[in-house]
Amino acid sequence: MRGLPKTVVANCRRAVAIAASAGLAGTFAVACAPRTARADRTRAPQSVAYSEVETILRDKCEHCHNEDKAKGGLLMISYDAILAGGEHGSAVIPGESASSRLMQMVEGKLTPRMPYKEDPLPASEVDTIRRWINAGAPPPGAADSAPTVVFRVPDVKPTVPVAGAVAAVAFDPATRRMAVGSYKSVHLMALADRKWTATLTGHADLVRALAFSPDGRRLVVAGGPSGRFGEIKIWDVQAAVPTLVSTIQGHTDTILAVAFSPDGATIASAGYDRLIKIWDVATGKLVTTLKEHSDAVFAVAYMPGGRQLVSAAGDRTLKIWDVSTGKRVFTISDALDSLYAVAVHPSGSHIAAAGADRMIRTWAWNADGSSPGGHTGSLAASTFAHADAVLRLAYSPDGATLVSAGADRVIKVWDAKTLREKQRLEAQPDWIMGLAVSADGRWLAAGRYDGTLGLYALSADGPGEQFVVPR
Amino acid sequence: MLKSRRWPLAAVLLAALTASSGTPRADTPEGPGVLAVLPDAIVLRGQGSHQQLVVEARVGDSYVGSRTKSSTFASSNPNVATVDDAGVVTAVRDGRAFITIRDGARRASTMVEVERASAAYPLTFRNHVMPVLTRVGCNSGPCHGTLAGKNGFKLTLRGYDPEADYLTLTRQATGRRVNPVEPARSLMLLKPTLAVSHGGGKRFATGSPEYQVLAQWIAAGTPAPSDSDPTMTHLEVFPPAARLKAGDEQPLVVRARFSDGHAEDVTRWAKFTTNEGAVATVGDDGVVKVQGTGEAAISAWYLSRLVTARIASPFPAHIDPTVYARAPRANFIDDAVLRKLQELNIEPSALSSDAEFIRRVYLDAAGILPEPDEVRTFLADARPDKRTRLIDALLERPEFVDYWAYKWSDLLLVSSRSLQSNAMWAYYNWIRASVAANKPWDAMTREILTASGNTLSNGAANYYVLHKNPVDVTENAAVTFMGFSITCARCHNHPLERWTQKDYYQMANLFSRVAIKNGSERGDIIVYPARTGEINHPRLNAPLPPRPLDGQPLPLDSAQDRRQYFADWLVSPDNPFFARAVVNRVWKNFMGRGLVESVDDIRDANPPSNPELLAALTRDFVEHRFDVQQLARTIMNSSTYQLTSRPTATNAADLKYHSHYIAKRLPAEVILDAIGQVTGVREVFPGYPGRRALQLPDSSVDSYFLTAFGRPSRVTAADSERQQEPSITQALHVINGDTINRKLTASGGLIQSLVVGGADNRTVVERLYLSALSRRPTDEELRTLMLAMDEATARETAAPVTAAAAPGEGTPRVSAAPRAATDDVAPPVTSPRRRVIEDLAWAILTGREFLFNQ
Repeated sequence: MRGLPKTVVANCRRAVAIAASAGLAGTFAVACAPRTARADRTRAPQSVAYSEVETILRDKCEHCHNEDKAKGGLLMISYDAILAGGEHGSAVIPGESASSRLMQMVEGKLTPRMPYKEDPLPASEVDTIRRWINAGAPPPGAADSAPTVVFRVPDVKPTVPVAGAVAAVAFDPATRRMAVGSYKSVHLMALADRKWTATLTGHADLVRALAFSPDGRRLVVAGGPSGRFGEIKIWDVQAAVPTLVSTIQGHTDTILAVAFSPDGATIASAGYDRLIKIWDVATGKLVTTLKEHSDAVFAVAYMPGGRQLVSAAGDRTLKIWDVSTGKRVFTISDALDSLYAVAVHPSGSHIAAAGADRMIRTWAWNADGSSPGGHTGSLAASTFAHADAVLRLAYSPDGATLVSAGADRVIKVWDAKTLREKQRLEAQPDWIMGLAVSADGRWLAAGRYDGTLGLYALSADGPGEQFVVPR
Repeated sequence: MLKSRRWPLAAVLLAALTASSGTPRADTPEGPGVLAVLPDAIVLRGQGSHQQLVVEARVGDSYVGSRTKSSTFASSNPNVATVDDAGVVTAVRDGRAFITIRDGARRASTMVEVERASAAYPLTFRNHVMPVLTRVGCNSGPCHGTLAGKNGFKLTLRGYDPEADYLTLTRQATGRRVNPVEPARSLMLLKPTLAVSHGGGKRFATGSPEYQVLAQWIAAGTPAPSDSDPTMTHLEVFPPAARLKAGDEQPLVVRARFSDGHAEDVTRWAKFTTNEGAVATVGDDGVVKVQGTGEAAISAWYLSRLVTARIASPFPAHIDPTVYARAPRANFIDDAVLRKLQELNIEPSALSSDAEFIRRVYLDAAGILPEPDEVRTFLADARPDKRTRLIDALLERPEFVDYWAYKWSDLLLVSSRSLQSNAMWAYYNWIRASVAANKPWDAMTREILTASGNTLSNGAANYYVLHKNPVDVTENAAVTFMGFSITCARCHNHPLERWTQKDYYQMANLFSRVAIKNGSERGDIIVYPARTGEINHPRLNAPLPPRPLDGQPLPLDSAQDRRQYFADWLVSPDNPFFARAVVNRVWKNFMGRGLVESVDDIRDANPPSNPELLAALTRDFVEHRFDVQQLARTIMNSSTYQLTSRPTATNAADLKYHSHYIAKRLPAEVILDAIGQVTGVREVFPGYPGRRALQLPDSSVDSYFLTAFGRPSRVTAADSERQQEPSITQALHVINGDTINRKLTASGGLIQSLVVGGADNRTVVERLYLSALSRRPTDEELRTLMLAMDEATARETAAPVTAAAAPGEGTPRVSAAPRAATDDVAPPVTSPRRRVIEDLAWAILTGREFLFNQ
């Protein structure tokens, strides 16, 4: 447990589940300590565990009182949200069920009776809520002597051999090694002899993003179970046997992209929860949350110099952020559909992005406002790139080449400036979900949904080397 | 209690049914009939494969009640197939077993064959996963089927594109929705079971059949939809029809049969809808609850296919079978109608009186009122075939041509709104000439669809000016000539119809080679066939071989005229849609209601009120070479058409099976013409001197009256464009507006001639009745009205009102309208006598009897 002191927990309820399922019960106690203290104050003898109430609310209330709808301004998606109340005031007054709106409305004493236009709650559930409120509305875990909320699912085993997707690949800055993401694990390959040298395990779910630190000493691995939480693990990969430096839990859904700042001090993570979070690598602490996208953030990249960050999201926009202030400085909304990929030209003069509208577009960009490459944020080039959504983009280190991968199972190499197609790789067996160009510009790696990996010489035609990622 | 209520009805049914089928009576204390088990050939393939049995009481050919609940079930060999208390048979091991069903003293049995029971039948994305997603609503309009998706997750509406949905579920958004390594941790299982929060709430429980299908498919490595997937060949519902009564419950079972010989009980995955909730409702579980009397079609939708169970709930009345035997029958229409009425215990009304008939037939066939002389002659005619003679004479009248030219102009959207005036005239004149020549409907349709040349010389070519692109033509041709809409399929497979997006674009591609260019003058447009041109299927991004709906495709490189090819298919006597659609429209014109209502909504899920009749009429129409006049003649000669509109003590509730004539409000144009005809002061339309409303070529002619009474705008071919519903505007206009009042106060015309001619009260009343209502007043009416006229004359004489002072004094008339539509300029100085006659005429012309055809 001493290896995991930097845990950041965004949400206690989920943390309980996470902790239990990941065997990290000890971390939970630290993160939720203040709440436990509060619960002790209000605890009553016949109290009911919040988990029992939560089951009812999730089933009967949450589909109207969620972040999308928030009827009556009331969110019922978490303990904190319920206690915060809605536009009519408090929903729950701890200890006083009779005067709590929640209670009055489920009992029909206050109209409209809840759940709205649905069957009333059974008496047993009404009673559970009443007892919970009367017991002081204890928070999650507080009424239980030990955390018992376990994320339990039925045991369903694959009946055929299956492989996790290779959703992320990364080269180290020295082009000695390649990191390949898989289900709950990352595999390192030595490029010299193409041998798998190490496996990093213990990841919560599919690894969806990888990044080496600029000095090559750290590898950040991100992912997390969809719909539940995001997870980041930072590994020390200097030695032959990598060691885990820290685990960060953040986001309320899986992380889709991660990037190291050029100085290696911070990392940015982007998630399906529409958020971008900046973390301090040394402490594992959350520095800031960039909250403006209205849909999943699929890609994130730092500008050279590290003062600015660009993100691409399902809301069809690119947003450029000032990292130090956490403020958005620019929005680019030329795309006609979700954006899945973004890449920053090594010189910082252009941003390339692409997504579901099948187009690749590049825009001129100048962090300081001067404009050698054209007016900042103006469209520089665009092309109809693939027959289906564009999933990934990468610039070659010299900035002359842009590589794209599409859901049409095609990888194309473009002239970065004109967006003229220079080369098309051999047909790919499945969607390319991880794409990287090595720092020396020689190699192109493509991770695929079917669990395979292709390694190509960027400057040569011909078939690539094919690998099946170890299980 | 229950039994005693049921017995009398059952006895009637039995009397009716045993006579026809010869099945012996097999009544038991549990109820009438023998016990029947459905489906009858059960083959269970694959481990755990199962089938719900349906146990029915059968009388003759009819299923008259579900006995599944009260029955007990036993398997002859539980090692092969088990059966539970609810009647679900489940495969255990290869072999055969007999299932014996007992319901009290009644018994039935069925054989079950089990094959390939050693392994589960492999689940496919297309045939198993998609139906679950559809059934629980994932891909419905309000949820992930919406264009924007929900929470970044978007499925195709009701699963019209399984390939796209497959990729969305397995790969899109970094494969977040499926976990192939630990299937139970897949988001697509965690969200709908609420293991993690879900904006759409709980859709199914962990471990439920829905869960198992999805989990098994994921565990099997998420096999993709493939061209080699078995395709569904049959969709069946059990029982396919039942005769029930209000309060009954009837569970339906749906079975799908696939190209590989596998059959599956898909009741749980089917979506059920009713077309008549007042007759029968249906739950998500397929249990029908009978609510009232009449017939309902319960549709079960599965994998883009529909199957319909017909539920009949006869009226509770006791109708002596001799009523039907004695009812007048003129032709096959009456046989079909009486058969349906007898099935539903509905009594037919008596035949209409001659006066009722003459007014009705003039209005329905030609949109005019009979003149008083014509009424008198007809009433006095003693020949037994005088109605047939009258019908024949009407069919020869120019007003018949006016009326039907107008009707088809509505359908074909003739309007100066979208055509230059000269082109509109050309189109209208072509239609009118076609009607005048009694051009067969197939010929007329073919001329339209294959039209080429100058729109001024070939009026039919204007069809392609109105519908300029393949999409417009496709959608309009479907509604106009086949009576259904395929517009939904432009964007997705039609949820309640059989036509897919592929069908749509194949049909559209038949019209991709029509070109137009400007001719020599304004309004003259040249329509000509182009040698090239395709329309792409939007998803496949490529053109598909042109194919008319269920017809054969034409190769893309074929040089054949594609429109010709479509027309050949459309007007073929074998085409099931073409003749039916126009027959239904013509039927509605006379009968007030389409056999399928509405006439542009012919769908499997919206079956005809009398399928046998529609089929017979269609057959007859085709046999008579698409002769619309002959069809009208056949309908008008039927006793069904000639029944009175007065209901009997028991048939008033029937508005669907033609037990009596359905009174209908006259169309706007007919009312306006009739007012002109009665008053002798015809409406004048600016730009169209001498034309009655029904002779107008254009629906955009300025007329407040026609607009208020729901004249269609001729923008879309939808039947609902013509508004037949009453409105306040109409009431106010009839009462206070200038249309009627101006005609009453006009010089010249009937009122003036009655005044000038010094007609006495009796003559005035009789004349107005004959003119407006085509009948003589009853003695009672005559006495009352003559008395009222005397009193009014006395009042008017005592307190004379000048014409100029008349408005605003509580009289309902507005005189001295500044815009003179009639020839006179100054209103005549009105005498008390005149004002009384005007009031009487006003009362008649604003009454329901005048405004309705009954």
